[in-house]
Amino acid sequence: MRCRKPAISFRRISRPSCYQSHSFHTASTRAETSVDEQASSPMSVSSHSSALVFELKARCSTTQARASILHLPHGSVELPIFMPVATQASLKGLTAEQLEETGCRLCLNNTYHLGLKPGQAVLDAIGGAHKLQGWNYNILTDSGGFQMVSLLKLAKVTEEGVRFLSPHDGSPMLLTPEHSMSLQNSIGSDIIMQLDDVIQTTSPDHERMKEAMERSIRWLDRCIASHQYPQKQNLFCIIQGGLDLKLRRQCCEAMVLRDTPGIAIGGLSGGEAKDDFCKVVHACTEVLPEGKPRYVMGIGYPEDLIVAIALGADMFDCVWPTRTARFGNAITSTGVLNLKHASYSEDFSPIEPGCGCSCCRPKEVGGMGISRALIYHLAAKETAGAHLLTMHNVHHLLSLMRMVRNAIIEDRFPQFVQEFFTKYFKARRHNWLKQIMLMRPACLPKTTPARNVMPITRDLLEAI
Amino acid sequence: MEQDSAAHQQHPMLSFSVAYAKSSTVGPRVGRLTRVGQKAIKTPHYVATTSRGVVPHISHDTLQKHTAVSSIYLALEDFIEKRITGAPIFKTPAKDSESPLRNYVAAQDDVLSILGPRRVPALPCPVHNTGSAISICTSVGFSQLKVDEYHDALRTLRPDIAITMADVVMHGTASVKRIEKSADRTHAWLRDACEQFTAHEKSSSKPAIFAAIPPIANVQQSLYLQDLAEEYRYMLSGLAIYSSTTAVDLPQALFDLPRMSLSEPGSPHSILKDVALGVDLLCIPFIGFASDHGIALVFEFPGPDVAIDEPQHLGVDLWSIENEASLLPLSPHCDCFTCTRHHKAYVHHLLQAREMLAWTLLQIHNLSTMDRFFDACRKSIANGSFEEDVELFTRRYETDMPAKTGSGPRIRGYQIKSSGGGEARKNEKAWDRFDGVAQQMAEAESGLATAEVDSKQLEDQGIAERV
Repeated sequence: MRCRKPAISFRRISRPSCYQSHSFHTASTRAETSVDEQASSPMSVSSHSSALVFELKARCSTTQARASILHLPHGSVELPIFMPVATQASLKGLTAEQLEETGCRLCLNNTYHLGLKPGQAVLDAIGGAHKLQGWNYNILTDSGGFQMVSLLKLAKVTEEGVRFLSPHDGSPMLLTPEHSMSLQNSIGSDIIMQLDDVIQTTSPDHERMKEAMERSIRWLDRCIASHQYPQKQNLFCIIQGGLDLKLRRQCCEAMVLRDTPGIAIGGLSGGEAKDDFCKVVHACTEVLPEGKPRYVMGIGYPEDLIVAIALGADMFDCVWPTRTARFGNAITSTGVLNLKHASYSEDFSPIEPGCGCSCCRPKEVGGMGISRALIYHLAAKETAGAHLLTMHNVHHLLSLMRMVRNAIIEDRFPQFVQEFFTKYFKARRHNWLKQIMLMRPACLPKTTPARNVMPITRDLLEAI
Repeated sequence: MEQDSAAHQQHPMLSFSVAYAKSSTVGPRVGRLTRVGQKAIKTPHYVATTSRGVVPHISHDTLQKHTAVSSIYLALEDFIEKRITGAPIFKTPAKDSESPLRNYVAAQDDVLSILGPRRVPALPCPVHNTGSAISICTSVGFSQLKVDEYHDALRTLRPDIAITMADVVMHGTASVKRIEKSADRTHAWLRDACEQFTAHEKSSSKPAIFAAIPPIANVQQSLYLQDLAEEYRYMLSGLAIYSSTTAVDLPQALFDLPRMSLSEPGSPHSILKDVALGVDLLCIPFIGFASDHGIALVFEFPGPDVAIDEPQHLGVDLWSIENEASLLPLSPHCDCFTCTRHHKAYVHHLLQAREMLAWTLLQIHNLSTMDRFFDACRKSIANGSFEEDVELFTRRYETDMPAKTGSGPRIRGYQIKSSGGGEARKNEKAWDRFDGVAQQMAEAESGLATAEVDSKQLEDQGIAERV
């Protein structure tokens, strides 16, 4: 087993900071954005160094929500999209075929995990992650940096990369943007992410936040420089900057100049308040170019997805729907049900009546006819119970995204949002319901040009 | 009772016919078990064993699409928690012709359901059976299952086939007296079952009864066997035997009943022995054991016709590192879902990563291997070449299954018996790895050098470099 040497070693590029606030220079190939390739669709933008075409189909006339199609190397996907996470090249017990049946055409793999097992040499020998897992649709991989920081609490970020102790023997290791690119090149995923400097958005250390944002930009340049297959793998940048909107805008500006095929908003879903989350997403989407997909990383609660879509985001991923399935929780349009609770032991209705997933559909129409009582009986005792609920939960989120998309195309998204929240939180009077209802302003008719209006303000909170 | 026995010779829903038998007393035979509305099951065949109502690691859609499982064995003890009365399964809604058991576990209509009191293999219980109850193991602990309760459950749940209760001695060797008792109790329990079913049920919705025969010599339970052949023959649709030797020297009147074996064959060789004695249906726990331990079964019957000096392996251990980058199917000529869509390298990776899908893919493959195996057995019996083929198989393959090297899925309480205080944990702690790292971190900060063996590997894998 041999290590593939990164195309460019970090020592050469990381010499004195290349980040100066207003003089970003991008690689010449990247600056040339050709619109002519997609002349038939004026909204479409493709860049020479990308392997995707983004086709904007419809915009909500009230909110920032958009419906689009993303053409990727392994087929097209409709946006907005939820991407389930197949951490170690399998989606928690589901066969590739079962995953297809949920409607999924784009799923995640985690670079850190695939780097440990099966490792780069094996990935190269097999010919990438698609071949490894028998999955013929699209794959997105993260950079590996997030796991480094979240799993290995003992990691330290330096300019060169993430320093951490080997989980096996404790010797010091270093993950650089070049390593991350090299690994993701071996994985062969359709969308790859830059290595970024992630810190908790709730961190009070403003200096560190600024440093992380600026470093992420410098690392993006190193990622672009060492990315070997820009013509078949799409590198997305990741906007950082914590909850500081000024930092976020600066980061957007700098990264947009790098002209990556897609843009991710990172560092969220780390326990920040809902309205902080909204402000950040809004601050980013309002300055991001319209012709590129926007990916908000790490969110998966249905309410969060809806809100982020209203704010103009297109792509989401989260382990929550599949993880919570293994704990016996079913996501339904009327809320999350904990099917391990004894009250479901004699509930012979489907997981969600009317749901079109293969678990909930009755046997007569080709489904499995699984009841809540059976899930209660199997949950946390037989792996098949986890498989069934995982299928349902993934299907539920994908189908929610389809409904959202149709609502946007038919320009009735605001009504959809109202109905969704009423149904999802029915009869529950949690304090944060009020917070969620804060989203309403985003759906209200614009009185002033949308770009100048923050979707949520304290005043409106008081008004509800 | 015996006046209309001829009219009741056959269950209205279930029938069995022997198509070919080497002899009319003992020996391999080919038959057909047919339930109205289902595809006929060609015998000899395996019955897929379930855990809590599902074939382990296989969800319902996968079972239907990617396996040829035609019958499942379910254990009542899997559906009882603290008490049998009021267990949720008994409240399953079912229309007239439907079986609450089938509805509860959401089994397909074309799969034959067989209900018995205990799992196969059953866990030995610390408390002995009594004259009116057997000891069972539920997911919340050991308990007793009364004969009456069991018969009520069979009537309510309406499996396609109901196995009566047997008094099976599970601890060591039984004394002569205990063996006698075992035969007597099983005898009495069968009589109760027959009386209950005659008294209560319409003939079309009552389950077909398979009489359980405990694993004791036929001479020691001759009275019971005689009664089965004479007095209760008209009530019976089959026999559930705990030892394949029971099939030898059965009373002639029982010859045309299907024989289902609940013994636990440890290898294909013992399956062949059972089949040679005339067993028609078998529960085969080793299929699941192999899958759990990362072993893909690769044997064929009677085996490849090539000159080989060394006997071949019965299975391939996919934990082994040599499969790391192998794009080959699990076994060369297999056309199962696993072998056509995936490869050894993926299953190896999934095992290493402890992903649930590893066991699913292995189950699909191993069940498919057994399908081919039994198919070949039936052909061989029908050809009259079974004995020679068994001999070839014995020569061509190793005697034992490959040793287990990797660990399997998390072990559940209902799968393993605790042997008393102070025993080691059955499942490794999953989350204590950081403790070691934290300590090493502390050491590293104090400037102590650490071993570099594994970080070298990490570096080779390209995830990071040492500094």
